[in-house]
Amino acid sequence: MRALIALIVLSPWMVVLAGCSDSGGSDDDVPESLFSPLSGAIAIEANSRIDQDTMDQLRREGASPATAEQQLPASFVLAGYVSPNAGTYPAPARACQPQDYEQDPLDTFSVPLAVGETVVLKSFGTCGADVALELQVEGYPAVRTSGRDETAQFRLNAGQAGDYQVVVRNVGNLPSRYVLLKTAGTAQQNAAYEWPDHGYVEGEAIVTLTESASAAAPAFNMSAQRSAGVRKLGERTWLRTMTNTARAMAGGQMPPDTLAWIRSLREQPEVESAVPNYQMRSQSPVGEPLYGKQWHYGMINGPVAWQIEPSGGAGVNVAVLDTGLFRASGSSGWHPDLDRNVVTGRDFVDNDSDPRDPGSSVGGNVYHGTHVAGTVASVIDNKGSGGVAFGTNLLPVRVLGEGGTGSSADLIDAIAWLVNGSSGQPPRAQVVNMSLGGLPEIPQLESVMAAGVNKGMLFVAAAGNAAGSEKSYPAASRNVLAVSAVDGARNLASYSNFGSWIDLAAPGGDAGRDANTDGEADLIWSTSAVLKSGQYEADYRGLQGTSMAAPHVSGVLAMMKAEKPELDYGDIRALLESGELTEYSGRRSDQVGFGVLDAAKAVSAASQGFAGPVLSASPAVVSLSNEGVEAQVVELNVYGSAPVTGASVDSHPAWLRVTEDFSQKPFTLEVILLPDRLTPDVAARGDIVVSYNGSKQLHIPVIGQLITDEKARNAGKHFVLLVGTEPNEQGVYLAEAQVTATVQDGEYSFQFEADDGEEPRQLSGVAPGDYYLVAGTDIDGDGFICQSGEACAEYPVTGLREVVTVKVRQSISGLRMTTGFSRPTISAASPDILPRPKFKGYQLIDSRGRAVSTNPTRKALQ
Amino acid sequence: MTPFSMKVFAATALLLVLTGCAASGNTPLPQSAQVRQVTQSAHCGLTGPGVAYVNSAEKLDSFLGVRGQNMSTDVIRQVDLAQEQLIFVTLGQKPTAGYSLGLAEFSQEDGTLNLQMDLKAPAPGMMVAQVITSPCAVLAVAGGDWARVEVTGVTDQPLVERVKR
Repeated sequence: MRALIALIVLSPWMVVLAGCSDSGGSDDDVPESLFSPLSGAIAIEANSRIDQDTMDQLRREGASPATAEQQLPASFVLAGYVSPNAGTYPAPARACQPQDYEQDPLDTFSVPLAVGETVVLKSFGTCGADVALELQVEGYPAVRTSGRDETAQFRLNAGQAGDYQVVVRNVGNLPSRYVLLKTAGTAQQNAAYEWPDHGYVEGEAIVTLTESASAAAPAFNMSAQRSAGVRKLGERTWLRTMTNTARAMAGGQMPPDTLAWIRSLREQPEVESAVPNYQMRSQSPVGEPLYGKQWHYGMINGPVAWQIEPSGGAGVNVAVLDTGLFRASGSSGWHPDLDRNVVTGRDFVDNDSDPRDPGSSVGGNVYHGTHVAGTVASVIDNKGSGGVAFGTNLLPVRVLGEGGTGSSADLIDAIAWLVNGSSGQPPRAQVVNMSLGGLPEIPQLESVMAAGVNKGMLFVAAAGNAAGSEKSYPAASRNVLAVSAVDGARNLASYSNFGSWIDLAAPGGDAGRDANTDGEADLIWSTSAVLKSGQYEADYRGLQGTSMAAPHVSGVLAMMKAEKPELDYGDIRALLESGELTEYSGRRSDQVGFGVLDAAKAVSAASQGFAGPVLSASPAVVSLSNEGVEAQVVELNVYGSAPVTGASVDSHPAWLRVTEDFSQKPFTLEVILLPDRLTPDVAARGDIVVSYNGSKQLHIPVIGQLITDEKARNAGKHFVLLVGTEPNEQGVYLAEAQVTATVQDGEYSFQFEADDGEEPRQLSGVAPGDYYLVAGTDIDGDGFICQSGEACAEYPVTGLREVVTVKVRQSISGLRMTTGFSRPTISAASPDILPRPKFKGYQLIDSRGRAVSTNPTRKALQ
Repeated sequence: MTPFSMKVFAATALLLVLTGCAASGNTPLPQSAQVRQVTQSAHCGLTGPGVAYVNSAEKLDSFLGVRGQNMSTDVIRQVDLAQEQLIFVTLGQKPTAGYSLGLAEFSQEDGTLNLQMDLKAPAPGMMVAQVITSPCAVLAVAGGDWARVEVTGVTDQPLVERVKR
């Protein structure tokens, strides 16, 4: 029997296929009342901790919220519960059960903090409602959770290292689950705390056949190639289309049919793997939170350009001729992601020196000028987004008024003001962005721009969104770079103008397409404002238009000007037409002019004395731990045509072994963690420094951790459930049997009992049948486990649950799984995880009566 | 009274009381509709021209949940759907800023609610922001005996929507 158990644990599939065969002979002799049909243990993810007064505790008789500070270690992921009041949960069946909850307005912790460390709070609300929480670190103002993810964070920027009191306070009207975390760049920092819900192409799957199946079935391959339903992607890999399924279901909620079909494909013996047709979002090394959405920066080769021009266009003034900038009511500053870069501008609509965007007199507003300005130069501050020329000065000039319309007279006035006279006065801006158009050719406008060009100014304008070739001014002017818009696949956007007067293209987005297949519409993300509780607040949004394409070009020109201030319009045109600013095919086209903007090429071309190559590391940051990745291969990519010479690893932290291979491209470094050289449970940080071509250096940040908190881990009281394999009509998985487990030495153990067939049935009684084995906490006491902010484990691996079959008088023991607050993510390393649209957790057995079984197998067996 | 009809009565009770015709459900209600504009926006996220009648919170959520919309959702949610229902009139996707829709006039005739909309568009040659927009107006309608909405001024042909109230 022992051998059989080992087999089960090693190979989860065997549970379904073989683990429950009749071979469990010896157990037949055990008296039914003594054996457990199912038992095992649950390990806990590193650094997991639980709030001392969750609903589990508060529901006990005489319990009251804890008053003492809870001590936390240097690294932790703690789940907790706070509620401003006591009450009863409302009962929409899918989200929570109508159970009572207790008051617990705040939780207090003592957290060791050092300068540069960050504490993050994520609020998950309850019953499907968002709830705002406050994070307050002793001696600092409270930070409120905000944004789509209801997240707040505090970074200790200066001051004394030591233990700080940290308070999590509920400032909403409902209870809330939360996760408070402080981790040091381990996997947990980038972990997801909600179930994956990626978009995928409905009715399609990428299927890899086993080698034998692929070789043995050439007929399948042949017919498949001819069939419209199958497309060959690789040697054994095919894109298969589900029959009778309409593909074109852009956006919106996907029905789960595709996922069920993919699960059935995985059960076919000739199929090695089957995954939905989605592409992974790249793990961007670029630090701003929104970068993951900003596909447009990768497309223009932004990250390489920023290495060549690390100041991001510092010292250059870019005038944004637009609707002005957003300023929150009563605020002394501009949009916080722009404010640091904004210099004094002017309002030519109201003719004053306050270029603020007053919004619309009626209805909503997207703050067009704020969005355009953000693409040029929002600041790098670990918040929101960064602009193409994140270090440049933003000079806001308001020429568009109500509804985003304006007069050519105001535009001419504004440009004249920027040109700043005909004599030796320097212009007020070196680059002028005009995300506006629709004008005819106006001689006065031409002459004022010509005067600017004579002073070295560079003008950029949106080509216009009429999807036609009619000239739109100012873009079509000979002194202006006309920018058309492309989508995520570098195709001309459906709305973009085109024609002989287009100079180059840049990403402008296309809401109707997901051409780069990242699962989201191809919008351009930047600074904006949204209406919250009757007032506009600084925020971010995705927009589309040639308005969004032009500022990418303006930002790159600002970086070029920073590299070489004397570059004038003639120089820029020469570089453009020789293909130095774009990914250039060698032939100009009416759609994209001289090609799609390439920031890296452009900035290299401008950079004086830029002869050498640039090395870039992938991944950009290496994170290693004894419980996660212990060794990582880092690729070093070379940008630029000049050869790399004399590359070597200069230095690296003593807790790493670094082996270099610079003999062929791509250059690689193998980085191995030496955990015994680390202080336990303290994250160590350091850089691997690679020097090349004499004085050039590449710094690769590395974080290493030796985790030794196994015994101290606690993820809270666990409910271990056997649930039916099919959800009920509301999409809820109901528990059929339920036991609880408390932590002991950093681990839980559980044991179900055989159903004796007598009424009332025991919660822990298991009848034969097919089940999923899951476990988790219900820290808000709403009758569901595995909601965001609650611990969750699924057998055998969270996110990849498999059916466990319980048979009459058979015992399965030694099952192991791992619980934690993070959720699996779909990545190159875990392609088998499927999205779980609408999944809300597992429903506990209602103590007032057992739920009706939804398990057909079980019914049959009964 | 069956539980079902109880429910229906409960939902409409307020409206019936307000319109003063609670006494009998059998006689027609020769009551004229009242329409007001709740809000308008250039970014409603709805890409086709059309008219939609919204009388449930669930349906409203689907409109307010559209990606990219930037409407004043607070004022829309303040409308008590038991007393007033919402009508979304959308212009569809437009290539630039400078477009807007507003309510000009309304009338009720032969079971049809007529809405005359005021469409503003940038004049040819006007300087406008080059951003794709999706303008709409959100109207609230109270009372009236109509089962059809006809909207003029948005497209060449009137937009017609049959409504189950």
